[in-house]
Amino acid sequence: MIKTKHMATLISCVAVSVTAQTAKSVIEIWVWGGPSQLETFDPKPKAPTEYNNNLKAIPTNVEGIEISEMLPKLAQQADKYSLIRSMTHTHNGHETATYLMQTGREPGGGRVYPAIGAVVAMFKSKRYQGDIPPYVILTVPKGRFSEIGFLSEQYAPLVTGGNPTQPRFVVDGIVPAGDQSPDEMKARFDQMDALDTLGQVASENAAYKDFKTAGAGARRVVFGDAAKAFDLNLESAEMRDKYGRTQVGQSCLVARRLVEQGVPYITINAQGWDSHKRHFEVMRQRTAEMDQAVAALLADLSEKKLLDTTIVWWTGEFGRTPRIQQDAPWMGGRNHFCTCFCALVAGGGFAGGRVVGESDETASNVAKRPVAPQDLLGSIYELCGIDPDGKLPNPMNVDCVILPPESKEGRLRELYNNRISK
Amino acid sequence: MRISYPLVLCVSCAAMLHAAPYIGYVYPAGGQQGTTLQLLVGGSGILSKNDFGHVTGEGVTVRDIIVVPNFPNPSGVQQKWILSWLENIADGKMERPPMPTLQEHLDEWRENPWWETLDKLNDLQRNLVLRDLLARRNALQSAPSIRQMAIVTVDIAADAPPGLRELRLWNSVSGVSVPRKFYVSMMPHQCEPRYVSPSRPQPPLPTIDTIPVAVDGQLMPGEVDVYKFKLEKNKSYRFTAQARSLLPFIGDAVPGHCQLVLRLLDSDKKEIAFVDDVYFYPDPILYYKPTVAGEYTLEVRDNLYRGREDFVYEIALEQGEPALKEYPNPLPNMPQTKYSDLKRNSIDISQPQCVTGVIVNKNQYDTLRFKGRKGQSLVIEMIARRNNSPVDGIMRLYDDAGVKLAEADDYKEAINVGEYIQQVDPYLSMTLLKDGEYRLVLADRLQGCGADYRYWLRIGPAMPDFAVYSTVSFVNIPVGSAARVRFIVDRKEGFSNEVKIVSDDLVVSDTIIGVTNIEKNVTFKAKDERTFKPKPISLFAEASIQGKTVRKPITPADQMMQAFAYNHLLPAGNFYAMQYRASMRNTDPSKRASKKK
Repeated sequence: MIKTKHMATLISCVAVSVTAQTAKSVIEIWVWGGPSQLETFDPKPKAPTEYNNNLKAIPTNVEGIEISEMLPKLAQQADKYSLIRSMTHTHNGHETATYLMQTGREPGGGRVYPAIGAVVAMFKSKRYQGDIPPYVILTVPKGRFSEIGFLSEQYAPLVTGGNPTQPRFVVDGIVPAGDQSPDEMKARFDQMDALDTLGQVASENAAYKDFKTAGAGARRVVFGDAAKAFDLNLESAEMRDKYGRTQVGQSCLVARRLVEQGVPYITINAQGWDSHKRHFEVMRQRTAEMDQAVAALLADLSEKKLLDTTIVWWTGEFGRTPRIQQDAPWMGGRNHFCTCFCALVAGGGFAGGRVVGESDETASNVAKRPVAPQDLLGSIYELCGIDPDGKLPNPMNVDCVILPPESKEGRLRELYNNRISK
Repeated sequence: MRISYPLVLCVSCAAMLHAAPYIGYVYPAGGQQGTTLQLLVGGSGILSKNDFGHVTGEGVTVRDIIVVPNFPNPSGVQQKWILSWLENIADGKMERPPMPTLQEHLDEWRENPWWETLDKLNDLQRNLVLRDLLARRNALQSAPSIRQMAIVTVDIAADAPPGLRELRLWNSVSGVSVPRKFYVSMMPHQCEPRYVSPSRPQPPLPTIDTIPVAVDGQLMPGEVDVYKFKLEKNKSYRFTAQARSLLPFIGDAVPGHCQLVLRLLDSDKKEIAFVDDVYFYPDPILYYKPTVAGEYTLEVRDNLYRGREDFVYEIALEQGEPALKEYPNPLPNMPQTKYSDLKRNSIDISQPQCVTGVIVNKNQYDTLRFKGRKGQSLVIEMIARRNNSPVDGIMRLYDDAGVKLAEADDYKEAINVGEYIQQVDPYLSMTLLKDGEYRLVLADRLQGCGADYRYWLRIGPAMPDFAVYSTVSFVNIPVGSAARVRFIVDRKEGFSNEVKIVSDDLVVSDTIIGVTNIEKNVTFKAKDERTFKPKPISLFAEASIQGKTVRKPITPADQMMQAFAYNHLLPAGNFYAMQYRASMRNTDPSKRASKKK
């Protein structure tokens, strides 16, 4: 009974909140661990060595915008994205900062709010008719984090598992491991159905019905065309090379294929950015992979005319300490730093070739136009046609607004391509 | 281009920090009087024959230092070759095995001086080679700062006073290191059995039957160290562990220290005692009184099965009954009153005084009464956890009508000094708004109780004061140049004046910590001859308190991070200054010690 009521509330929310011209899909590139702002989109070549390690900034294809020399391919795509160099909050712990950046909410307070992926999936699911769940995570979930919060399980992400760089991308529960043929799999499902004694006595039970509905949906994905979205062998070798044969590169390619299927929200959790030690060694590897992957994704989406309807956003839970930590045990590392860090937004109504906000001469403080997490998320919601001040269904029927009020500086309206009717 | 002096100074400071020797751990962390020990010291910036060691206090001398050459990753073929030679040596055959004949294997051959001379090494050296090749490690927990190793041989004189010492390394081209703890003890020490190749039969565990004894070990990932002891019937034994106290803060571990667990098993392998802390303190003490004489097994591990070379521990086994904790008096310079002697009498708050008490009963609320005047300044500070008492204090102040005026729980200090992780002692500071009688009620927040639950309460007018700490316990000064050290001032109870850093031994500039600052980088230059040896230095801080100039010693300390997040100042025994010959040297040990043939 509670579930039915919950669903009714949900439908009314959807009806109220979706506006006409909106982004259809979102690709979130979560730079897990906290990417250094100085080695990505806010280089400080004029800062002392103990801040920038003598790294340079390079020009982009947009006059006046420079990014780190570690991102040469992305420098050639700057007209497609905008940078925020003044992200700021107050949490330097991975878990609390991730919660804040994903939900727009301060941690604590007794309610676990859903991540943006689940919220977008919920609001978009009315129009989305695909067989693949509306929220897909490539390839691992964020640790110690609940994506759905208090929302219904139906908006939980499909977490692919597997490794898209392998010859077969074995997606958990969708692409069978080993050499099973579709016929063999069907035979196994039939056998499982034959053994389903619970169904014989509880076929009208609501929970059982939900279970069977979910199972039927999963089978449609497994045996229909939807699973082909995960089959990178259908892409040319040239295209795969373009993205880079790395976890993040091939994940970006899968994300593009999921966008083509209409999946509303795709998260790529890119690991390995928590560079407390060997920071520059780690950065050289990670930024090279990320540079190739994201540059290829933006170019590909643009060429396929998908960028206008697909938001791509890139950031982590925080940035990293601008001053390099030379003391033991770090010996050349950067720590967590929430005071000032950067984000990238592209497509789906976000203008390209612009910079919002500014940090000081060492990227240690926000100098102009601070951007709070709820402002960034609120902007994505607005471009998706979701009212950030709208309500979320809550199983306890508690009044829950999607986001807290925007900050004094407000959402990123200066980057909107005038598509929001509100 | 003209380069300004501060910029040059900055660069030289950065270079110094790169190059100075660093000690991450010392294993074993202690030894018996009258013995010679081989200490395994892990760190970075350790050179070779140019390095020297120093142990504070009387009776401990460093005989020599052998730097362990950094071991590169050998190819599979080379690893087999080294292991086969080690196996031969273990079987008494010292000759080198034949080299592989295929050129492709030789192309991958990596050079390391110890790998080439295994027959010339001592047992400890060979064991380090073996351990490096085979022991399990957690890549996520690896730290460049402790990748280098040195074997430091120390002689402990028979009459060396027992107690805590500090070991530092130094060399003339980069300076002196941070200190690490080392204990001289009266009891014999035994190190954990050395690493044995899994391919060889594991030797039987020796039974330790001489008590008292201290056992020393290092925990590697997933490791459970095991010791066997012969215990007698009806005697009380005490196993006192030290791990966190040896290295109180580890920056890149969560929790930020080794958290030991002790488990005692009887001869049937049945657990008979388990302990993982003493009240709030992570180093456990296990008491046991056997009802049956025989062999007992002690298991030692980190509670999360973490491990790394710096997870060093020492466990002292002695006969002894559980005893009350002994506490120093943290407020010795003021009148002392026992709470139990107060009865219902009022206390005088016109002068600072110390009231001591014990929370012996569950739900015990101690009540202090005093008379106050309107406008009177009053500070009430509980010292308990900071003095290692288990009390987690809470205080409430009421007026004579029973109205609660104030409540204090955990007090957040401006800086964290010492080994405690979290400040939980309460503190109240106020100006009384009316004449009258007041009641202060205090209790343990967690409703704990017992004879160990002691507190010390300072009550009286505010005492404006200051304390200054260095953030490193040394300064390494390049010859002919200068170096900077950061100092932090803790201003207390209304003290708001500037503080001046003073040294009789060094030339000091930029000495004033201004009234709006809590920290300052102070520049030091050498005054005396070029000695290239660390020299203990006295540093002082001067300031005016209520019109009177006060000079106080600065507490030498090293700033340490805990669990990626929190900074602590860990006091050291001395502050050392040293001149060194600045040289451009490769500070990355991995690039210095290995190359392809």
